Amino acid sequence: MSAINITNVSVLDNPAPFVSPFQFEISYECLTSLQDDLEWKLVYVGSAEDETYDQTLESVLVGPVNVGNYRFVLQADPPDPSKIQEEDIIGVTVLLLTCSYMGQEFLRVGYYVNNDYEDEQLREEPPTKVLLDKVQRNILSDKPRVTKFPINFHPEDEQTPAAADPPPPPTEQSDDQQQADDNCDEAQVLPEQPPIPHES
Amino acid sequence: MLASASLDNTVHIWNMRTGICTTVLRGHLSLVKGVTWDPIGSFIASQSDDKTVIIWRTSDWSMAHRTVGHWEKSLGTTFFRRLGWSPCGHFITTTHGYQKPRHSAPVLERGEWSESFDFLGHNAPIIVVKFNHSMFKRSTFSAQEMKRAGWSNGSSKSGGKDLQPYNVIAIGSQDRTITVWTTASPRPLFVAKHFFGQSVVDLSWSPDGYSLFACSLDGTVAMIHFEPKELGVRLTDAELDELKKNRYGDVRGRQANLVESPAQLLLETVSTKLAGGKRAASDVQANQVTTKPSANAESTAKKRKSQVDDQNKTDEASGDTLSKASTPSRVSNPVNQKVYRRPDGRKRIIPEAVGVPQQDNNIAINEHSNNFPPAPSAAPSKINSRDFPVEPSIKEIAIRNPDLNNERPRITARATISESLVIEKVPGASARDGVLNVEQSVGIKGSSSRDLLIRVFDWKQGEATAPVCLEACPKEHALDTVGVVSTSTIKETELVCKISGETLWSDRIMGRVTVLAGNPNFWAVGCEDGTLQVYTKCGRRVMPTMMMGSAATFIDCDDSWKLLLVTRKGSLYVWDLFNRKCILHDSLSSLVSSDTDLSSAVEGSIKVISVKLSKSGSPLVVLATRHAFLFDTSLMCWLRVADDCFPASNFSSSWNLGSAPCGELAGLQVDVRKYMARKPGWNRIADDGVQTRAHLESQFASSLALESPNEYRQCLLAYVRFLAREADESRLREVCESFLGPPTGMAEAATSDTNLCWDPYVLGVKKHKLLRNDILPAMASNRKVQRLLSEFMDLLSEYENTELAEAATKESAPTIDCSGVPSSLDQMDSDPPAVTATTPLTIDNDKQVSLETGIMCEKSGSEAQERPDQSLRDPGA
Repeated sequence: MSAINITNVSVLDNPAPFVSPFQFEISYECLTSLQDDLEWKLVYVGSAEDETYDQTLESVLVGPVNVGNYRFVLQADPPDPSKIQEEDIIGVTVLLLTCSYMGQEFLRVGYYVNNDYEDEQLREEPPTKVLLDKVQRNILSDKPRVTKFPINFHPEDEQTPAAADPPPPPTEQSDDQQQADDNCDEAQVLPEQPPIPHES
Repeated sequence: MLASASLDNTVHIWNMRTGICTTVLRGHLSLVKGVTWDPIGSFIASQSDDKTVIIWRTSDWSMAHRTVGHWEKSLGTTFFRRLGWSPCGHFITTTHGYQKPRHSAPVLERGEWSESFDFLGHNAPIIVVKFNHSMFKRSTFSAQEMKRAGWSNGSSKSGGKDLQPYNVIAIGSQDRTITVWTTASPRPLFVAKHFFGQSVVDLSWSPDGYSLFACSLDGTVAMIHFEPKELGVRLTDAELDELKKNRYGDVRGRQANLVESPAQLLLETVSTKLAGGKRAASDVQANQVTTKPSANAESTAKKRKSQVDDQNKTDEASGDTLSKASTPSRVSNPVNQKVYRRPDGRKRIIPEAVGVPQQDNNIAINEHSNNFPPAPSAAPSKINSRDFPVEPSIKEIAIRNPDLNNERPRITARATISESLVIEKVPGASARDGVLNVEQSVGIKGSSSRDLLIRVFDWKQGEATAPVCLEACPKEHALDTVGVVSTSTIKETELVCKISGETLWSDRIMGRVTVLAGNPNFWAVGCEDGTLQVYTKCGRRVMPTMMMGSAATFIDCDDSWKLLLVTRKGSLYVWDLFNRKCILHDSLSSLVSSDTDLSSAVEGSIKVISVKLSKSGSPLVVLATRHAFLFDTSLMCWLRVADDCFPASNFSSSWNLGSAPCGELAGLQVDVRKYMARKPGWNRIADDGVQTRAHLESQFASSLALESPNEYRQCLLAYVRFLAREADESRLREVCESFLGPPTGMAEAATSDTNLCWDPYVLGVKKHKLLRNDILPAMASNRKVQRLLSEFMDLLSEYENTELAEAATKESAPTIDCSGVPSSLDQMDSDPPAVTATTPLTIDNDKQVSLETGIMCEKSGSEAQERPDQSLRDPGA
């Protein structure tokens, strides 16, 4: 059972120009308090063939981690185009949003990203030299791939750290659950809501 | 439609399209533990711990029958009493009956609603019954088979009965067994024992009707699959419909409340759209009033635009607009997070807590403020957001409290943050004389060296002006008076006024400064010894020192020349410094007596959190209980605008749900609720609707007193919706009449005698517009009040016709047509309230008028029939 469950990720400012910063509004719930901060990372996959082209766009610590529902906006700079091979800029690639606790990754949300010219004519006949300021970035935010890895959130409690184990097969999750969560939240925003018991 | 049974003795009926509670069924005397719909749609049945089953009509939500029966002798309690309605609509099987010596599931028959027979045999109370969604009939083949197998002891006698369709029902009990019965046989078809280690709690049939799922308290789920030869052959849906039609007539024709006029339908669509659009609108509001620029501030404008686009799109698309409309609105709430760099250079975000009590958040921040150096910046901003949730960032007042940096236990640190502004007023020894002493509590008492700092943003001199800071630093000069017995110290305070680091002026005054206030016009400095010094912008002492008699504890000023001061003894002053006039002099003592529960703690003392000028310019006092009081200058008395008198009101939690404060009143209300949430014990009070109404009414009046037009509109809407739901015609009529004004014929006559003149505007919004745009669409949510609605529709259009005729020479009157609402609503809500009030929406005018005449034409036919009817119903009108 994970101590942290992601409840929603909204991709803000999408689609956007290639050179504009990324913005994700991330909502998560915490079931047990954690001593250390959570580390959220945004990784841009520069090339499908080679991991060395991966760029970590941003890495932030989020905390303190207390029981409850939280949200925050993760903002990250756009990828450095000089570190991407020219031919890989245009086309479909992947953006990874990962969350780890004490160096152990337990959550990974993957998005497909499509970079293309906004201009019809440029799309038909792409110029030899990539015109970065004309490239539009579109994150396919409605099709996230959520992968969860079981990790040990309280290493001091148990003597055998789970990180030593080989990572079990990841459990793929469709975004249906997220949708359902969305709906729950919406219901609470309604003005005509009956009393919700406040356990204090 | 969704029905929910609740521990508050009620059943709520929800509209699934809008998510709004359609009605509340009150009648059970104890916890309601099961509810079921009539497959025909005419009734709903609920079973409760009060040992009764109530059948409700769905047409008008009245009680059709209350049945007392075999449940009376039932012993003990169960978690659930999940009764079920047969798919043929004829039987209701209830749970938890007891007929000596056996537990039973009594069956009620439609029409009489009396017990016809019982399912007997379980050794413990029956928790759940579930009818199969389909009916079954025996195929000739399986009937023969059964005879051979010798199962069908009861039914085989009557061969003709075999061809009758029958129901299949599963019963789960606390004795850990499940039985499956058919209504064609007096014995169970199937008994499942030893499946579970504990009580069965719920059963469910698969849509195809041949699988049964059962779950138990022991944490397991069982799935039982049946063969067609066991249950029989399932009737197709068409056959089932046919059966129902034969027995009950065509279901489709029997809609309870038929629409009587096309305008009703029109308004109904508007009201559903309103429900969707409303929230997005309030979010836009929230965007505008956020005082803290969050990380995504620069994109707010862009987002708002896209949101409005989305909104338009969803408005165009009819049907379930709700889910779409609310997705963008949820996203666009500005996230209230705090970002800073750690010493090692890494970025750290303190996330915004969603849906948890606020104090958790507080503790979190304090924790961090104890551990990390950037605390002072975080702490004052917390104070800011708490005390000035709605000030449109014209002035920002920060109080730097050095205590926060000290190594203090966490609890104390929190007390400092939230209660640093608390003063305690205790009657002195001579309490009988009415002299009140004000004693300062924890936060201020301990800190002898205290810096005060305020910043004033002067927007008049251009956008880029740096804030002007006024700082008061206590300077203690130890007098080296040799030979004197005690070393005395002179307490002096240095006042420094700076603009971006540059000193504008400075002054020194004797005594310790307790309060500072300022705006672009003047500065005011209050001292411990009860003096008040007023400076001009450039630091000239514009008046001789004013003597207040006791130390000033709260001070506030508006943007022009108004200054508010509360002294330790509880006197309250409001001055107009420009005209050098005292506008108001009163005492807080009247709040002492009104607050009885507090005086029980400390006799005759009040704790005050803040005193300030409300946006409308009246003094607003918030006590430690978070009760807020507003001084009404025309009534010359205090009005309680926020309190906790209505804990059981359905709406008491509604303010809390918007994560950003959306208005002055809402801010106060949320504070009250946060405070209440901190108190242990949530007592469950059954709400009978009266309290909710009283709460809404008082909120409505409070928002009027606070002169907060947006909230006024919101409260009005909630109130009218509530009245419409309860079909409270007399109150609705009163509200509508107050917004309609005197009859048209008399209006001209009334203008001559001015003693009782009707004001067509409220808080700068035209009353007719409110009536047309908000009240009438809200009323359309319940068709029971449609007569009233159409009556006022007619009256209103009459008014507007005469108005148009009158205004033909004047400027174009701002008439808004109801059908134009979707577009005009967006516009209205995205504009600040002041603009809404004054700008007529001329863009839509042409279209509206034409549409309006359309309605009139369509309606004219029905009007003729309506008229005599109306006069009968309401002879007074």
